Order: sequence, then structure tokens, then C-alpha cells
Amino acid sequence: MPGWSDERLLDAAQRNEPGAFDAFVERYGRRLLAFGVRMCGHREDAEDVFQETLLKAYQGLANLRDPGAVRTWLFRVAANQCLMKRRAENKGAGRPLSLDSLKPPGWEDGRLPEIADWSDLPEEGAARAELRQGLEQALFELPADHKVVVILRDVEGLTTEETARALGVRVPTVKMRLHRARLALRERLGRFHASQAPAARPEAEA
Amino acid sequence: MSGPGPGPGGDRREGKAFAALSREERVALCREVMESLSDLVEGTAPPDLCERVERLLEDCQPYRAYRDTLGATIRLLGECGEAGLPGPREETFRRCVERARRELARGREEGP
Repeated sequence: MPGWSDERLLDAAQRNEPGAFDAFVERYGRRLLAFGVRMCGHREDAEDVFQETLLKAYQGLANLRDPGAVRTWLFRVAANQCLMKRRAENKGAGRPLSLDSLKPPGWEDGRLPEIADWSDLPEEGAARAELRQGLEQALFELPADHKVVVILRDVEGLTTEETARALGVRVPTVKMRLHRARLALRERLGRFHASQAPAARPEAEA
Repeated sequence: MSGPGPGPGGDRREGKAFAALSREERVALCREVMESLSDLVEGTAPPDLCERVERLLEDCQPYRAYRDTLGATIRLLGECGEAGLPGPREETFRRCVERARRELARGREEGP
């Protein structure tokens, strides 16, 4: 079954063929669990969300008609579970991100100081893994409605349109939240980078 | 994206084309760039905006640094996805799947 197309896999799962559900879980499960971990931040919550997602997915597969939409639909189920859990815990979407708060000082009047350029990332290895870890932490601290967009779009690689469908929001809303989330993450990563390299010149905009 | 500095060439940080703009034009361009930077990095911005920004900000250090570090951030986000599960590992995945499988089996036994 590993080589099966989504269409074939969906058909097998809908017919309850032996092993179809396992194959389905093998294909998508790890990404769904990782999504839950990033959204929830706590392993126990993520496990609950993942479990619920698998159960809902299994029950909902019978009604899914478009094999090309399987991945988007699964993330929709997972995102709903995460957001429902947040609502149940009364956490809400979190503080909204305003573009003004993300602009470097001086941007508004066209007088921006020199900005540290750390885009030349370290080669794959411990330093790069540490950067990713810093980014994961920054991701966790984003407001939930921005975090879910940037995870689906940039971490999981859905298109903007798929992300909008998965979340039941409009494309411009996805684009706006994605942009703000990226700017916030860039800022945090810049600070992280500066803290990891004390000899380097500090980020001018910080 | 910095204002004109001393001397006819303007500040060393900025491009000459940018320095030649009026303050109002610089402010408007900075605002437009700030709102469109994701599209500029991904190459999905309207062609006329790309062309204008490249022409005016080609030599602008703050713009290039900001754009390139945003691009690096997006690249790292993609790598996070490829790197797999943050925190919990394979045994967590297997345990969750087992739990789900048991739940499903129980549901089937109990019927609708």
C-alpha cells in the first residue's frame, strides 16, 4: 500500500479493506501529530488532538469525495480539534498581531537604520538545528489564529488556497495572517540569532 | 530605506534611486514594501511592483537584509516540517495510533 495513490487509498479505506486505515495513518499520521504538537505546545494535549483527529477522520472518510483534497481535509479536521480544545480551555485566539508593531523603527518615515543580515544560515548541523528549535519556540508563542496559518502554509506546505479551505476562511485573511506571522517570526529569529552570536553586531532594529 | 545622509550620494546604506525620492514617496514605498514583502519574497507580487521595488531598492541595505532574513525564516519553517516531530518521537505516534485503533474497534463492536 505504500505506493498507492491517495485515490486508491481513500477507496480502500472507504471499503474498509484490511490494512487500509493503517496505511492511511502511516501516510499522514506523523504530520498530523506534529501539527498537533506545534499547535498545542503540550504533548498530552497534542496526543488527545491526534487521537480525536484519527477517529473523526476515520468516521468522515466515508463521505469524502475528492481524493485530491485528502490532505487538506485531514488538516481541517486536526485544526478544528486544536481550536476546539483551545476554546474548551478558554484560551481563545490570543493577542492579535498588528503590522505596525512589527515594522522596524524608522520604516514609517523612510529612515531605516542598517539591519543585521543573518540570512546566510549555518550549514546543516547543530547550529542550524538550534535555529530551528528557536523558531519552533517562537512559533509556539504566536497567537493561535496566526500560528495555524503559518504551520499549514510554511511548515506543512499547503498552498494559500488549501490553507484557506482547511481553515474555512478567505484567501486574503490567510495572506494577511501569514505575512504578519512571518514578520513576527523573523523578528524573533533575529533576536535569537543575535543572542546566539554575542560577538556579532546586535540587530540594529531590535 | 533610509533617508538621505550627508553628501550628494546620500547615506551609504541606501540606493541612489531611493535617495532621489521625496520623503512622501519614500514613506509610501516603505509602507507598500512592508505590506507586500511576503509576496515579494515568494515572487507572487504584481510584476510592476517587483520591478519598481527592485529598481528603487536594489542597493538599499535595510531592504535587502530584511527581505533576505524573511526568506531565511520561511526556508527554516519548511525545514521544521521536514525535520519531523518536535518533541515526541515514534513511540508516541505508535501509542496514539494503538489507542485510536482500540477506540475504533470498540466502536465497531458496540455498533451505531
